[in-house]
Amino acid sequence: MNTIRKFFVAARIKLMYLIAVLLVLLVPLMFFAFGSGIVEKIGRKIPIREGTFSATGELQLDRGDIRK
Amino acid sequence: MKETVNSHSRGSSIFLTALLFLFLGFMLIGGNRRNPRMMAASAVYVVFLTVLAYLIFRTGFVSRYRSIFFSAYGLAFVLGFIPMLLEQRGHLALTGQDIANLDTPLCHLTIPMLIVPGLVYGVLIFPTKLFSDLGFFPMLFLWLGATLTIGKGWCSWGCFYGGLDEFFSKLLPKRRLSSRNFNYKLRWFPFALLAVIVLWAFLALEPVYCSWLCPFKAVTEFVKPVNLLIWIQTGLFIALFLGLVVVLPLLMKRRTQCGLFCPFGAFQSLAGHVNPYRVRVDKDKCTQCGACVAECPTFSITEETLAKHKVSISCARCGRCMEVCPRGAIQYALLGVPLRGGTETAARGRFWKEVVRPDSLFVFAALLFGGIISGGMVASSLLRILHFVQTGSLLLK
Repeated sequence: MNTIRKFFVAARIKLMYLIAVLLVLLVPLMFFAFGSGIVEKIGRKIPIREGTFSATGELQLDRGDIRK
Repeated sequence: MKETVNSHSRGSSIFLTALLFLFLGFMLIGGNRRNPRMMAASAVYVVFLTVLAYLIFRTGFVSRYRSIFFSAYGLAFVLGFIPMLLEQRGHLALTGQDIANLDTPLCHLTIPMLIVPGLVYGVLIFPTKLFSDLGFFPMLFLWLGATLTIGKGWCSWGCFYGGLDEFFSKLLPKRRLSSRNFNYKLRWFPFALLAVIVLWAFLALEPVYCSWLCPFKAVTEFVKPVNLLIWIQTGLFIALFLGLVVVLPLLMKRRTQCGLFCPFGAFQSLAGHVNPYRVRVDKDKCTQCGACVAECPTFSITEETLAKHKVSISCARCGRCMEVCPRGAIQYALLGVPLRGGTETAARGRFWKEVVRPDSLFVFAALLFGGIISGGMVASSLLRILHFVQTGSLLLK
């Protein structure tokens, strides 16, 4: 039982270090992604649009904007 | 050389610094290869960061040298952003036409206010474009990336506004306003403010923090004061900036805006939990001396949290507590990984063990992130300073 517990603890620690190293690599990858157009590709799939604003800064929202 | 809990041997310091230099050089210098002036300015910045990185790894004084980077970043942001707006728009104050044209750069502080109206109405309540350089999606993805990679560390390594707070908190050599009788319950104010602005923004359908409370409007852009209401708002921005970002940090030597006001900081404290890095107190080493309580720049360690050998949720991973702890009891840690035991430098002498220590990995990721995100702004500010010396103007165009 003790051996199994030790094995899982060691596995968990190794996994966390692996995640930490991957997160380091994610930093430059993320900035590369900005230049690759992936932001626009994913963003277009998210159902949100730009607001329409009056010159006084008020958002123009009509009933059709409220989701059913 | 005095050693701290985060110091490294010469070999591993050189290895980590060289690796960081390669990453930064590739991203910043290589990324500007079509613009020789920006390339040269980026090269200067990469050398600056490389020197700081070596000093951080070798000495372990993370906060001391991070502070130099972070202050330079904050100042470069102000120095670069205002002239950039003037070049693009010809004026600094936002006009009604700029708002109607969705010509307002979005910053990360706005994100918490956009989520609920975005989910309910499917519309942005901030007058910005979805995909422009400083528009909604680039900022959203940047925030998501920052949250994943450095979590709450954003507040000490990535936020240009935080750099200003840091700069003023380091200017005076001595603390003029003691925090001995400070009411640490005030550190929950940003969380309350976050709840209020999220609800208020949803009900009013406007980014109310940007309209009424953001101290950094005073050094970025603000709506052109054309009536009494906007004059009041402008007065509030300036008063909050002077009070929370300049005067109180100068007197208390703490980041009062970040620790006691910023609702985005509170939001990041919650969202940052997806990141596996933590700051933890070793209960076997801690003697409850309170040195960290007196020095934490963001009021994140109190006597109550220390009694439980914990730091508050608002800890911004700046590393200051690790520098002042006389027993080396506070460490950067990875979730689910036991703290380093034994003497302060138990892992020293074992190259790879030092390289993959939680503090090495966190500082490397944070400095890489901060270096890349600040690179363009700092390089362009360097060019502007040079231009100012030559022509007397900060505007490049």
